[in-house]
Amino acid sequence: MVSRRNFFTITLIMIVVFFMFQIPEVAKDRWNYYDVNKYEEQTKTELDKRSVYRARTVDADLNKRYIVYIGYRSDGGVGNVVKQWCLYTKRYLEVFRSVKFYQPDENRLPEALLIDANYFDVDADMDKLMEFVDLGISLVFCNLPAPEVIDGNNKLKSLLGIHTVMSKSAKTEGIRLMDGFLLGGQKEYKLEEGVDEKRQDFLLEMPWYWVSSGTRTYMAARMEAELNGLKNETLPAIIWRNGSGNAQVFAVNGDFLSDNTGIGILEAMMAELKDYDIYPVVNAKNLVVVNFPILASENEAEMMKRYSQLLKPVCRDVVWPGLIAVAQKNSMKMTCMIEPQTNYVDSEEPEEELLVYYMKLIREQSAEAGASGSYREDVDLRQKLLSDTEFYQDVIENYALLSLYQGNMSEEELRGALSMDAFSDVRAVYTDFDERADLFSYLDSNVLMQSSVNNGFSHTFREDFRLNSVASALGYSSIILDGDTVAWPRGKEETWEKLSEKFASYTNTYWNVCEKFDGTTLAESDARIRKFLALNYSQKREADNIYLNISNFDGEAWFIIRTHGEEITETQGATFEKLEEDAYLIGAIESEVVLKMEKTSRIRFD
Amino acid sequence: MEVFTVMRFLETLLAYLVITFLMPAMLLYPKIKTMRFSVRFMTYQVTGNFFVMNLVYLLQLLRISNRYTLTLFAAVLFGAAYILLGRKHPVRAVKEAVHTFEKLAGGQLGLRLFLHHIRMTVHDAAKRCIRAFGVRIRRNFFDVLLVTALTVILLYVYGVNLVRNYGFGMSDIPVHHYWINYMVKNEIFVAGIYPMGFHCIIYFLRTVFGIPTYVLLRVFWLVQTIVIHDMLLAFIKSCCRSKYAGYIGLFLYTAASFFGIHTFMRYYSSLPQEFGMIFILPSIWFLYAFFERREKKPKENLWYLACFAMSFGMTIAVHFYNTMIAGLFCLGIAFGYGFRLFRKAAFGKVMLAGIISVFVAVLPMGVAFAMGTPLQGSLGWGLNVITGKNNKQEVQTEEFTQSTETENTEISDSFGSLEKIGGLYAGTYSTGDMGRFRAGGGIVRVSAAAPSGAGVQGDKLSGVSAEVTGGMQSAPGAESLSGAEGQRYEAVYAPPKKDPLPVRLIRIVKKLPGALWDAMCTYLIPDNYFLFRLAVPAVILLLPVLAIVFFVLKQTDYAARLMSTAVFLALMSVLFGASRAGLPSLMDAIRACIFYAYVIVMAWSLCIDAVLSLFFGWFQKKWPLHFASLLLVPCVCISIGMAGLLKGAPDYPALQTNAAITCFTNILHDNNDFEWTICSANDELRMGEDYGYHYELHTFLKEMERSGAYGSITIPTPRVYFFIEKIPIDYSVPYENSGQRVSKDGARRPLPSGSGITMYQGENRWIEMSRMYYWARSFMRMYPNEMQVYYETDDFVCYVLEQEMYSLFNLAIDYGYNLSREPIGIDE
Repeated sequence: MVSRRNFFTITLIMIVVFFMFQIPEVAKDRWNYYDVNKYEEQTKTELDKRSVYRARTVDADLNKRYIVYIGYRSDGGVGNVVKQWCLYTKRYLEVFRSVKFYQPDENRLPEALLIDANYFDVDADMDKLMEFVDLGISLVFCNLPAPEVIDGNNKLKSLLGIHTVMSKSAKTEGIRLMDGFLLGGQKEYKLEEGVDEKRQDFLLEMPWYWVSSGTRTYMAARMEAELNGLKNETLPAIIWRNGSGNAQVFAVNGDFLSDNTGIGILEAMMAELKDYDIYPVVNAKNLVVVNFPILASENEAEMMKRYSQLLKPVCRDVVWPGLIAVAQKNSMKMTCMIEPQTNYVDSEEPEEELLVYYMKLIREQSAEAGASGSYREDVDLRQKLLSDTEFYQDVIENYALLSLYQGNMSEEELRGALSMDAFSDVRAVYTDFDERADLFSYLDSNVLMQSSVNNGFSHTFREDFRLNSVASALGYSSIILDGDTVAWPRGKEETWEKLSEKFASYTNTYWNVCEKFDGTTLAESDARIRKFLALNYSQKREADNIYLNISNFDGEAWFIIRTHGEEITETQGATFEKLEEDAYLIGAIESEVVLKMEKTSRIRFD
Repeated sequence: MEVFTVMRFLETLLAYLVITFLMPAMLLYPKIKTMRFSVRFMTYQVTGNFFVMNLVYLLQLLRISNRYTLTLFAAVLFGAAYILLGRKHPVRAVKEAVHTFEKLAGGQLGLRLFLHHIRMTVHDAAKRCIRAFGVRIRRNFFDVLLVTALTVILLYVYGVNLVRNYGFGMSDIPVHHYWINYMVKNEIFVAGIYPMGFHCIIYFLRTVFGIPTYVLLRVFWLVQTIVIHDMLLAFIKSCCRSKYAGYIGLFLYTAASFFGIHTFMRYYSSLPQEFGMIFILPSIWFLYAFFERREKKPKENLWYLACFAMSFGMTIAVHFYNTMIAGLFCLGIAFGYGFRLFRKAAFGKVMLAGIISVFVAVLPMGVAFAMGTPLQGSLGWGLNVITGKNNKQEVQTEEFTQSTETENTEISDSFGSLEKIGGLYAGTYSTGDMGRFRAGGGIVRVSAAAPSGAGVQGDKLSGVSAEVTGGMQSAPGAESLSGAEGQRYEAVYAPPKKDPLPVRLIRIVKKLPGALWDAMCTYLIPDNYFLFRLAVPAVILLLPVLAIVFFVLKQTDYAARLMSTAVFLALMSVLFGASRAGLPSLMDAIRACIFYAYVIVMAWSLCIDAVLSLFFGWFQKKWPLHFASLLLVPCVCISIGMAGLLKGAPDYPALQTNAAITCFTNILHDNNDFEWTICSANDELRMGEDYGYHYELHTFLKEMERSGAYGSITIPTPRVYFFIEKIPIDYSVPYENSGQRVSKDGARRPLPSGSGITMYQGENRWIEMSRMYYWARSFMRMYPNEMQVYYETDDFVCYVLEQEMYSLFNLAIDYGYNLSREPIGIDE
């Protein structure tokens, strides 16, 4: 028999337990302001296209950030990379079509002279290059002349630090990126057993240059010959540096500088030229899930076949938890580019309750919702946009859509879409990665386009190299995942269990390089990019202190400092975090920053 | 670094005392607690060292020596000895322990009560120890005071140099380092058979206590110097009747400055010979003790004899020179205690002990020899000296070590390549031998220059062109011959005719006092301190007189000690002045003076004690004697002070810069093992052998000579350190411009050719360092971020090169001085 007293106690405990579990849930639901975009206020900024800082001659004079480029600025290749890099790193850029047009001013020597081999005449320009080197101007050969040209010119060979041209075209087996050049450390881009062959997308046939003493190799090919006793030092060099007289000469054997990957390579080269290199970065890592969630029940037959469920439970119970798990593990914030429906001609309409449900989840996860501009070819874009805006206004009228995924819209279509009322708040347009396009650019005075860097379902060697390179130069990474791939699978390989495995393994493994960067939504990264593009800075060193002065400072700014055997011990006006050996992320909270440096390998017993 | 060095010294001292004092004391104290502390101290030292040396020898020969086996065997043997000597019942003890734990587990004994028992046991033991310690201090107040003062003086005179100069003091230490390093690999006798007693101790400390060998060799010399002095004090105190006479000798030895620098210079280095000095005097005292107590306590006598065997054996196991000194002292004892030695019972025991001691000491070497290991070079030399076959001292060493012993140019009866034919020596010789012929006396008849390799022609030489006589006369032909160095001549050498033995003996005896005085003035007391010089022959003469007096007074034991010491001193004097008196030199005077100074202070103390005993010894109470001796101690100290004879703390330079040691210590601390290479001149090769790699500086430069950027030098470690002396030190060999900085002039000179350590001696070192300096500067221009200054002082700089292991830097460059053309200038 239970006594009345015990009965009363048990009942009381059960009531307490019941309320303990229920109250948080009720509170979460009751106070979930899902229809308000919390990032609207947080990321509000006045910075726009006019705020972008473009380096001037004064930067060349005062801050010594001055680059001379021999080539063509708008060639969509090396020129575009150099142009972007100079914009992001606040370097003053002068472009000449030929070496002969450039006359160095001894009072204003460039940090480096970048040469596109297509604009370089070996016979005519060699002597001049030697003069530049004597003056102390470091050279960067963004690509190299043909091997036979190099082999036939001893001066050029000596300048480049080439001991022997071993072969005009050698078949290699992979590429090794040395430690300390890009963030992320040493990398081996060689297919091992069990690795998908599709991952090897580097061009492995290249001229074989054996570099001589006085050089340092940053990237080299790997060959079967290694097993036959061939020394690492004689393997084909890909990126190297030669200490020549008063200056350094960098050489790139291949087309690595002809796409956005080159930005990181150029910055890494500059870091090698100096005792330390400090440059602004964005400090953002995005996880953008485009065309997700899909709010209408579509592609039912295929869904039933693959998952024995309809699209709605698949997205809610299978895909969403998987995304959250990866995002949380990697400290990322998600941005979901909602796709109300794909098919606008059938009778299936998006469910309002589902949108509310997802908006609440998005709010809970501190994620952000944006709109998707993707559309199927059989759908009229205008009809889609009208339908979507109407749907949004019905359900989340007060939610400011700050970001839009360009999808397959053309630039003109994009401009048209942005002129619609529902998208009037859009500040950030998210685009697929285009290796020839700018990573960040203004579409109009206030809309900033930012590009993805990698696809979450794919990670080839080139993509990995790009990830490291962009992270090194800009402190930025952005993974794009396309929900349509899940909703409209084209085969076994595109089922979620396969895709999620790839997504999770690639992200958890290869995104370590971005571990210390802040996870951001698109609205947040947009604000950071605007600040990044607007700021200018100057720095000087006195003894162990580096004084950093930031102009056009808007509350926060980030920099990366790369050193050679030095570490930060103390800061004023900023926080700092070690990214890896000799690389630190600095978060400026004041416009005047002081960094106190100390040698890493200092004498302890003295 | 000073603090680090002092901490390391204390660590080493503590470790050494644990094995040679604490552990033996735990075992033996109950058995020998009735003995005087000085005797117990000698006993602990002898047994502790003997145990460690032989344990290491055993495990090394079995090739199973490592930290675990050494610790295990030491612990098991210690435990066994503890049980045997302490009459403990291990089974009962284990049963009791198990019973206690059973009670604890069963709840019959509470945890709190159990812990209380333990706490009380520890508390009582500590209390007992402190009380006993206090009582001993009270009873021996003046001894404690004087020993403290002596230790302070020792730490000042010797210890200051420990923190002033960090490097090795002698050029042969790298050789010993090398042998010890190979013991880590269980390769004892790596360079051949050699007495490895000292190496065993260092190896044991290194392996069991984890102190790096290079640190031990840097600091152990102070430990052994303290023990050497303590052993001298213990011996004198054991021999003297007065309590404090021994301190007089010790204070004179340590605090007074009249002894020449050669008498104590080697104390600044961790060397086997000096370590072996620890065992000379105990062996003598144990023999004294044996003879004096032979009839009273037979069991105790056997123990003394065993201790004598152990200590005498250890002189062999450590360094043969110590055996010579101990042997001479034994001869003295044979004379002094002849009346007891040459009795049937004693003689056999002493001889047996001697044979056993030699056998035990030589056994490991014999085993190794039987297993095919050849004799180490210096051992071969030692044996030849004893047998009179060789008069040349040379230590064969590894590739980059050097001849460490001085060459004795004095002639005996062999002349290199000349062959003895009848009474003459004939053959070809080079002019370099001229000095030897002169020194040897006799006549050399030299023919005209003959082609190299000309055969022996006996006395049928034609065209005699010069005749070189012995002694220091210069014959006309001698001058011209010495001008053509390296030229070979045909010669016939006629040794001088030998006088009959009695004549020669008389001549030697006549020469001996002068020779001794000369040697003493040169090495022992070089400055003109007449009284102290006089005190040397005086004590030799006075001791036998006093001995006779005490014989007459029927104080036989004491008289025998004095007589033994007197005879030993006389023999030591012969050894010391042998070369000057024309006798075969078993030990060069520069080394003999170390031992001579060591024993002369002992003789002085004994003499003072004997005189005091004559005056105060007849009192029934001993305190007048002790008081008189105590009174003399401050008198002597004050006299030394007033005479301005106080010894300072000599700055004895090391053969490495302090910066090099500092760098090396930091490199060990900063890097994982075998992830670094040091490119330097020689010494760091052995210092870092257990932890990293070494690249010889000369080899480095040589490989780059005339190849420049077309050569290839890679060093496959992530970090490479380059040690460069901006002001090259004088590595044993000074030259005209010693102390000059590295310069372009030095770098322009041709890279020295030759072999071994000569590359780093004299001017060669300056050239090597100059070239290395300009190489480093050139390389730094090419790799400003990768090659950085790691540590720099006025006279030294260390560069560190960090490199990617998959893409090593080619270190062969044209640095402006290695190609056959006008050098390019590198900015200073």
